[in-house]
Amino acid sequence: MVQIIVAAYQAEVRAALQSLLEAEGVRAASEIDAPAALGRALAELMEPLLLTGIRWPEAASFLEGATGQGIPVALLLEEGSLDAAHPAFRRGAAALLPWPTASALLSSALEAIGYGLRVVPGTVPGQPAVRHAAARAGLTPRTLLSARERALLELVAAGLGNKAIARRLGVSINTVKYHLGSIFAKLDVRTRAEAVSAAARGGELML
Amino acid sequence: MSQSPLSSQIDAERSAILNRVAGSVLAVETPRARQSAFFWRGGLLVTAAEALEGADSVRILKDGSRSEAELLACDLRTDIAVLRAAETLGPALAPAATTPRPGQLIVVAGRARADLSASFGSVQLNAGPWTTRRGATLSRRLLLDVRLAPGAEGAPVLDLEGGVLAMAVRGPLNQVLGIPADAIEAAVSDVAAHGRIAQGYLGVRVVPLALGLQARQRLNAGRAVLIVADVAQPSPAFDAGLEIGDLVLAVDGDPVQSPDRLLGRIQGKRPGEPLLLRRRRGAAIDELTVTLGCRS
Repeated sequence: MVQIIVAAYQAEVRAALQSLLEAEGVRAASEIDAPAALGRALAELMEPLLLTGIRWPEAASFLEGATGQGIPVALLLEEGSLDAAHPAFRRGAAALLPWPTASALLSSALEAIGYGLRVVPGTVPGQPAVRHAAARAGLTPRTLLSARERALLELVAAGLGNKAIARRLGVSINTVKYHLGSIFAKLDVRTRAEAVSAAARGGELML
Repeated sequence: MSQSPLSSQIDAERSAILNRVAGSVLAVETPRARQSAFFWRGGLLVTAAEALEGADSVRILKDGSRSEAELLACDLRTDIAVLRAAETLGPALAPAATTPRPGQLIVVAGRARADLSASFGSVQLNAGPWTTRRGATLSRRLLLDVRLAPGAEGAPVLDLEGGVLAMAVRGPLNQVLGIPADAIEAAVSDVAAHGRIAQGYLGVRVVPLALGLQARQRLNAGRAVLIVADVAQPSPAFDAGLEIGDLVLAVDGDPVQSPDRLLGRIQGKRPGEPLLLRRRRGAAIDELTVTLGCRS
């Protein structure tokens, strides 16, 4: 059973977060008003999750304190740069949700975190959509390669030479070389084998 | 100084082997490298893949003249490249009748330019199945106790009957490795049949799941987890019922750290071979066997 710690400097923010949880019938296991209080709160909990917000960068110190100890963090943030590239993710946040958010969305997000998924905010402006990381396109929010480059790289992965690739795609060998050069630059690699494994690592190649 | 009968006999045998294979070994060159190659069968030439990567054209040097060869396949996983010469310029070599054994005498017959080079040595180690650095599984790990002549990469490693045991390539730490003859035969027969070297194919895109320690512990006993981001249709993965969002916990019983490791696992197998996946969907964990298809 996940135990939620509500963390914020201001009492009214903590209260707002609490009421959001209560709307879903969830009670927070503890409440803290400073990152320094985290250690004491954690000592009593088996499976903690930190819920914090709602201003950046104030919330960052709570975020770092928790992720430093391997605790998942759900972050609710007021408007601003709410996207998948938000610095909160670089600092290990498990979920980023817009504030205000519907209690049902928060509850779904907490459930997703429980499964080890990440929750990123939708990228459509004005649409407070929450995407589970497991849900379709949400998994690869940013792709480095274009569809054409991917198609070409699939053929490289199949071991085809430039000539054979050109024949297969119905383009000239110079076009193949041009695309390959662009793929190498984007993936920051020097050989075909490196390109294939870099694309695989980035989830851009059919295995 | 007169030679003893034994040493002159050995000498004659060595010359006989080299004379027998000389016509089958030639030099190939790309703008980057010059190395050895040999005829296998059906007019197809075999050489080492490493230096040929990305080459558009490969030239064959034979008797002082150059001709173009088409690079049909360049498999860096096994380090085998297959070329087709415009015309068959020499007789094919045949695989050795026996498998290599430690201590067995060998000769590596290379040709970097006009002249044949010969390096005599022995088989140092012939260990069981081996997965190369790039993920291919070879039937044997062949270490050779021999010093390669310059340009002898891609040269045949012959037994004293003139049968091909392997292809010589340079490994890490100045080792000389032999790519076993059965891997060469498999590659050449793939190329002859399909025009390229067949690779296993599952039909998924996966990404690693960024997990906290606890989630990792709960989901996969602390091991890395890959999540299926896309399933190709049609594909072996689709037929086996893999879906977007499924978590891959293990492959053939082992956890996989990253998508490129999974790629290595898949490509190390041949089409038609099974791949055992442990999958988590929601709270349920099951195992499914997928018969790999062919990347095309």
